[in-house]
Amino acid sequence: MNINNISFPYPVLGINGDVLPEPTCEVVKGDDKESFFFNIKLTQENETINKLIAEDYADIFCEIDCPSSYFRQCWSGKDTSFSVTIPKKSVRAKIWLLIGIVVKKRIDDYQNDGFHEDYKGFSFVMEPGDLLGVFGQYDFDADIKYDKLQAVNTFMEIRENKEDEETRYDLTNDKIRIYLPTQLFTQYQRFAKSGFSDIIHSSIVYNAMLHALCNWNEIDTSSGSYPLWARTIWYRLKTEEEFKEFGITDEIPIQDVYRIVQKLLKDPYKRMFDNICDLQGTDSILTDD
Amino acid sequence: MELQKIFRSSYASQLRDDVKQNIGIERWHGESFPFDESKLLVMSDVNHPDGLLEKMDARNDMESAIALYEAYPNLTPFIATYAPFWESLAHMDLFEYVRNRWPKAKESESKYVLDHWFLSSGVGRHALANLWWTVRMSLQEEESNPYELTRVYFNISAEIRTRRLLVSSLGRNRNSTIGILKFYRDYKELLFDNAGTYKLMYIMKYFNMLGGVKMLCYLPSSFFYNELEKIIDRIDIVKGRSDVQGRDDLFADLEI
Repeated sequence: MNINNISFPYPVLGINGDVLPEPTCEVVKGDDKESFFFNIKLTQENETINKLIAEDYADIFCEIDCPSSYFRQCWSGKDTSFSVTIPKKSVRAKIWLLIGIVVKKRIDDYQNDGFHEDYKGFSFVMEPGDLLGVFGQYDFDADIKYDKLQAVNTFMEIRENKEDEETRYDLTNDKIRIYLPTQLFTQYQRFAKSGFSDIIHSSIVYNAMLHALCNWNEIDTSSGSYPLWARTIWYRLKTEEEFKEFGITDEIPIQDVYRIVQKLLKDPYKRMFDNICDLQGTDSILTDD
Repeated sequence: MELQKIFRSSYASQLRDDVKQNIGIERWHGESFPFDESKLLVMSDVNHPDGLLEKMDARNDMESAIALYEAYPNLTPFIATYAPFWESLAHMDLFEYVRNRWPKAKESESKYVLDHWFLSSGVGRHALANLWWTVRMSLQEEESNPYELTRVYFNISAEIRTRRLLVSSLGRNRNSTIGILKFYRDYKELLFDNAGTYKLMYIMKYFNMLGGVKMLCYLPSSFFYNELEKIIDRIDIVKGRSDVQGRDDLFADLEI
């Protein structure tokens, strides 16, 4: 269930202040080699709803949905603190968690002292499956290597173009692919292993990244299944402090793309000149004369 | 027992690219597929079944599906939706079956190969993944006839099973699938008629709308069965696409 933009035919705790007091929800994510863990702590002080839960008319639930792997589970119980474990072998790409309170047994005359005054005096028939409350909806991406976000090889790769003599970019796979003509690819393989990686980053990789971000509008970020390189970049743009100045919401501002790419690649020009200096055995190639 | 071998993901991806660019497409027209043995991986936790190809019958989807599922009964959701796994089976172990089941590769666009040999269009279109998932979602292990509902599922037109129900949010929910299939089992005359496709479209739309305000994932399969019994008269009314798309009265009491 996606609760965005839904108007319910009855007041729902956690939606538009329909029912007070407002609940809170704290979700702490962790993982080990085998599983993802979610430690969930809810605060819910509406007495009517707490009574319905205690008398088994309602349950707290957590729906876990991973459309890409068909994994779908619904945890339910009475505790406001609980943990959900998801085996890593069961999921990939985007995973959605919806946490709320659901009607378990029919309630003929649902009234609540916490109703917003618009609903005061009304009562509702609630059937099993109806939502009484929503604590929140959370998502995370099981594929993103959160511990290797900065590594270029997590979102880009260079391959051989066997078909013609052009350099091409392909944005449709898990990594941005740069196809180099055979001769260049052979040279690249030799140089990549010889300490030229910063120079490669500032040239081939920089250009490919610029191309990718300039074509960002071709990617549908509203679905959970767009290419992994884009999900990784998008996660960085939305969460890392240094990108906040760009005010990125749904799109990447085209006028800032070159600055964003420089930040994503950690100042590639500086690294290139440092690399050249290292290779020349000098401190700086910029001299007064 | 021998372990299952599959393509390295980079090799599977290269083959996919080849089809997209029409490179070496004749490889999919032959008796067997000339794959590169140096590009294989051994799976550590999936056994290679013996004699599966002989049990697969291109003229009988249900029997093939059961044979395939029984050969790989414990796939994790990750593996069962992992493109290189299904793509490897379709090109190596079961190439002959896939070629016989989907025999028009030679005269069709490359999309035909992408759809049935690769997971490009999802599990519903893939020659093997659609069979395995149909069994997975309809199997009742605790029943004396665990495949009773699988048989019902395969009686629904392949088009609507693979392109709509199996790949929908409703179809990914085992309880809803079981409830709907039990209803199909008990009301054959109502559902398996000329308007069967539209009736299922109506049922899916009805539950999708209901899912807007109800936690369908929380509800047991009996809920779905009972809900369908409640709207049996409306299902009977549905005769065509316009009833599904244009008759608001058929969804009137959903209050959404």
